[in-house]
Amino acid sequence: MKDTSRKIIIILIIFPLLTGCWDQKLIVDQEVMNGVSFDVEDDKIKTTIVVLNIIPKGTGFFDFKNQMSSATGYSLEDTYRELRTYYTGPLTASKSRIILLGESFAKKNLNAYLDFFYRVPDPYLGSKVAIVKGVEASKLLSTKEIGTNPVAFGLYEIIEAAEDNSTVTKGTLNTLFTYFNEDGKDFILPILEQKEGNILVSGAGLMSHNGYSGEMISLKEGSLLLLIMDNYGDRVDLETHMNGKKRLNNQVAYRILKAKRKLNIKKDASKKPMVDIHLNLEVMIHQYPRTEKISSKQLKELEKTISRDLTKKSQSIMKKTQKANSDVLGIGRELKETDPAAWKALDWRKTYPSIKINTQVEVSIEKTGILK
Amino acid sequence: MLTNKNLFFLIIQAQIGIGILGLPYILYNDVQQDGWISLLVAGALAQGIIIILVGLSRTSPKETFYELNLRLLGNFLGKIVNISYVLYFISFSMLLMILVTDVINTWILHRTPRWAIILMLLIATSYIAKEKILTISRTFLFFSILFFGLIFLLILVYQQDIHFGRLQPIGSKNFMEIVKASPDAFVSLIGFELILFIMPFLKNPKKSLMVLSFANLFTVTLYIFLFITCVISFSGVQFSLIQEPLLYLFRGLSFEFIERIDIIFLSFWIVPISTTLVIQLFNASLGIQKLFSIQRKKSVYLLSCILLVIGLLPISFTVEESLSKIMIYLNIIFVFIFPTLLLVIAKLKGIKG
Repeated sequence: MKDTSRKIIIILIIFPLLTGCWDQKLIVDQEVMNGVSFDVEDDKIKTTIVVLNIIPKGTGFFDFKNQMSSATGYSLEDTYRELRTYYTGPLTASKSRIILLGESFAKKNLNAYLDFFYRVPDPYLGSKVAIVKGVEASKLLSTKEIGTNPVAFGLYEIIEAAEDNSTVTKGTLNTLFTYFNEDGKDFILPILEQKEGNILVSGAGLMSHNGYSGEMISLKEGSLLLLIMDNYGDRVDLETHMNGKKRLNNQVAYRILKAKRKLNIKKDASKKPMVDIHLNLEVMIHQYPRTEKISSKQLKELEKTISRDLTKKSQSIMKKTQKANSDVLGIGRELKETDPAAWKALDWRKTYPSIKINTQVEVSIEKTGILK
Repeated sequence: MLTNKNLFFLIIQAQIGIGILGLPYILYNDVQQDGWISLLVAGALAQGIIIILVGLSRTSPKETFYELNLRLLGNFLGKIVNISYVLYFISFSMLLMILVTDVINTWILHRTPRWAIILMLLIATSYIAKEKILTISRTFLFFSILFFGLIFLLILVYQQDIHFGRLQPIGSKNFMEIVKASPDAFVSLIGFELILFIMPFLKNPKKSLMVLSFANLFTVTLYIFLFITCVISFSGVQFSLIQEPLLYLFRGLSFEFIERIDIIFLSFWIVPISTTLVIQLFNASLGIQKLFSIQRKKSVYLLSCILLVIGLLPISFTVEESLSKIMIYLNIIFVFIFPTLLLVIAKLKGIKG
């Protein structure tokens, strides 16, 4: 009996200690921002945030309201301090879904600006980051909803879908932190555009030196770039005009089943690196301009046409990355890892735009769908 | 009596603790992607020391280290050595507690004062440490499930955006630099000195060397696996900035139903950290029991009170840094140099006798 009472007393003493009186953050008090956007306005940063308020309307039904506010200042924390005053509770970025960068903001050295997100343990690093083209980033946030989703969630899903469809590489705020500090490799960010009131991912923005280069790879070329980068999503679909003629209903479309990329770095006479990229694709045809049997001779012909077309397209894509000085393939990184001496001797930022990059795409058709 | 299985888990729990959080960061800043070689070197060093320690405790398997000291060095000198060992364990525990509170303060509980965390930690650890060594080892066996959790989470990281090429070029630093970095890694392998104090409790002391070697192998392998995972997931400059790479690895993981695995992981990882503290308390309390002939239970409580009082002292960042540096040397003296000397003395006496 004495023993039991002693145990009970000990438990009673310990329980209050377990609750963590100092650090309780009640979810009721919190104002959770879902979306953040950064723009440059008169040489200052303009931060806009969206806080989602859920309004219950009887059992199972609820409506939501986006509370949006912006502030300008010299740094993120500067604007954040002002933003805090607009809300009733403490503002947290622990669940932000999306971070939008205005075009002019994206051109700055993002690594230095976003430091705030990485230095403290609270912010959520799973948020998607995108560049907004054409309009101010804050304008996109002012859309109330996308489909039936609140704007921040909708944008998140749009970008996720673009990743699955291999328009842009998979990425979050967290992977961005890795890319920022990688020597000899640049990266791409999704570009959002507004078209007749709807928002779409219109391509992949080429980043150079941790900032937006201003060049982008369009929606239709994006998948091929991702194949060359060897970093593609769940689905990769491409099309080619038959016989190289741009006509109505003259396209063969195919889905990539298997892709193999080889990247070779050689040196030319003046010790400048030369790159050979070899891409082997196994594809399945899923659209053919005529509903008829494709003979094996035609298939061979088709393989040649597609290979030629993709080789040509890939050349132009690589030219574009060189023009933007954005080494998205990580050729510099490859060089650094395999030939450190040569890497140290080069100034990669100056070298990359002028190196010779050869691409060669070879396609073999494995399947023709359920029709022959 | 401790079986081989019990001994194995006692040793790995004593070895793996807080060090695992920051080890990759320290190694990377020393020798970049070659840190795993330093780990191997440190592992080999630890293996050598294990052979010495086992050799020493085998000279008289029925005695603990403190009794051995008294017998070999005489009453006066032996007592001084025993006291300094107890002080070593206390300072080790103190550093451990400071590091734990630091991590918890920065990652989870920002406003909880240091003393509260230390108090909680001491209540839990002394509760285990006051028990018999067999009970302790069984508890540790149960806690070892967490290692599977760690390994599982590390494997999940491989689905993220990783790049194996970051391990290259291998051997870019010269060998001397790599060896110089190994004491930093060695600190995280400390814990096997426990064998000196539990030799009398072993069921079959003959197998102890093998069990210890396997435990050491397990720890070194786990560390190397962790280090390599970190190297391939972080880019150069990023890695040199992140003080707790293990937590940052998990910070990036995100699933449909669960997010912020870093914080969940850290909350659980306090358990393996406190097991290290339990071992330190156990070692020290054995010494106090011998020195002042009081019950071991009471000496555990006494130690906890001392540690709590030390924990109340305001310790600045710079003091903490220098303490960590001093600890590296203290470890080598108390775990390596002194037992080696004692082994030589024991052998000499053995020849005479």
